[in-house]
Amino acid sequence: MKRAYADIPEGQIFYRFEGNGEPVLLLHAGVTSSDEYKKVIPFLSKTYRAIAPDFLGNGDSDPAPFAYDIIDHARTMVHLLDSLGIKKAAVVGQHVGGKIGLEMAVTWPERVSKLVLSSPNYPEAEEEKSFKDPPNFMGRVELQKDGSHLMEWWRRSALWRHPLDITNDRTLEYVKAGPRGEEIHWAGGAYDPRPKLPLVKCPTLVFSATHDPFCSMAETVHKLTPGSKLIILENGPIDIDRLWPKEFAEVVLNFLNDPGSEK
Amino acid sequence: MKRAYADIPEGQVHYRIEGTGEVILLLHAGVTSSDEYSRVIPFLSKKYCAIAMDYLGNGDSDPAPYPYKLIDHARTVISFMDNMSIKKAVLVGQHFGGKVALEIAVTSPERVSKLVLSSIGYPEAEQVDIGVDAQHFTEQVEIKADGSHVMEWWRRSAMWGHPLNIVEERFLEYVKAGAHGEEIHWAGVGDPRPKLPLVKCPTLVLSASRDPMSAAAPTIHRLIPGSKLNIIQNGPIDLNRVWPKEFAEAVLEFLNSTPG
Repeated sequence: MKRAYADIPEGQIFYRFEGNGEPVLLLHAGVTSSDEYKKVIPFLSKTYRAIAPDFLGNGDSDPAPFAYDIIDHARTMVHLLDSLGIKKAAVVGQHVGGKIGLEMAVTWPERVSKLVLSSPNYPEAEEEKSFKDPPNFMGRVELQKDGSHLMEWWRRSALWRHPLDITNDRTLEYVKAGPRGEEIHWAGGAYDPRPKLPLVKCPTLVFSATHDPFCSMAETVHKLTPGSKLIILENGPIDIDRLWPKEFAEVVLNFLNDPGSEK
Repeated sequence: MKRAYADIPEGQVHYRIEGTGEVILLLHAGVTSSDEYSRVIPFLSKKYCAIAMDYLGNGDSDPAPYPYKLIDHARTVISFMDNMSIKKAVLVGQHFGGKVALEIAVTSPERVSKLVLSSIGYPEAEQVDIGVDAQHFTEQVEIKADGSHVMEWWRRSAMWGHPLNIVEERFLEYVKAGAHGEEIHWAGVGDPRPKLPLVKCPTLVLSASRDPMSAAAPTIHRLIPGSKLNIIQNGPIDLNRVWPKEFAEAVLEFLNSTPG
């Protein structure tokens, strides 16, 4: 797997890539980075050209010039495809990354061949309320002279009880994103995918894992997306691409190889 | 300023680049990264092609395949120059980076046109003059479930009294380098003095009076035939980060006043 930078009008986008063939664009969740796909990519790259970018303001990409919403991030991903000379790609997105993939599929349908929404979510009454008073892992974190902001980032990374190396990888992503990091979560929270789902024209897989907090929403997302497939992995964890990379890759490969003929 | 990767036999090397013309290759200190030159590069790139690379195991480059010694890091710099088709460059190195630059100037003199050694030390100076127990910031930091290693990296980043934004930049470099980060400090333990008389290219010995290594600068200068010495009064440690304009001016003044 190689790392590289692509120049787009908005700045430099960092990405990881491996393999040849049909391009598969892997979109990460909020305040993470392409690092979350590093164990998935080797499975996909045997038969596909896997590309995992960092959104502006996350990972090793340039900062976003202002607080981006979902369509701004989707536009940068289309610019990335332009920069790489890719006309059309399969797009796989997890959490916020799924919303950005959805926006690409609806606004630039000619650029998206297939869509995988991994644990997509929508604002519920409860969540809309809490968004105004961000839940205890989405508030802005200011740099503090005593370094106490680091323990807050460590706490957010450790919330999901992952193995230590994954908690450490997540912390690095918080530090890279810095005080503006949570902007991408706010963009995701302000975006309701439900009105857009009926507009999706390409083959779509809705995919979740039973231990992901958004698992219960997958069925609604599936119903609203015409002709979509639904797969729920029993006992699968949150951050499934990091923790169960083989299972994640198998689900994606099965769908890409045979997206079905409902449309 | 752009960022990019170069493929060398040992892995991928991350670098920052700006400007055209003669190449100035900027080599960073231990457990830091090319980021330490981010504010220097815009001054140099008006007249030069300024390039700052991350060593393997530091910053955004690939990890080193095994605990690298000074000579291994020097070899990756040569591999990087090969990949970038740079035959000869001005080498600028600070602290550990100065030792790498010196190593290259002595073992591959045909690749180095001019040399700037910023605050390099030697064993006695590093033990006596540094004012703090060296063990205190160069021993290995293990990753712990309670996250306490993060506070240790923060302590090491904050110990020089820099502004908060610079402490945060330093801290990010510790996290990126991870548990193997300090290997590069260990690689820097060695005496550069026997090599200094072998330097053949024009050389500037640069330091800042508040850098603990400034006490070593006159000795370094004396041992390099024909070298120039510039100790910036009241200048801080991490001069390139904290006083980028003064750092760049010292480098440019040396390059302008020294025949190629």
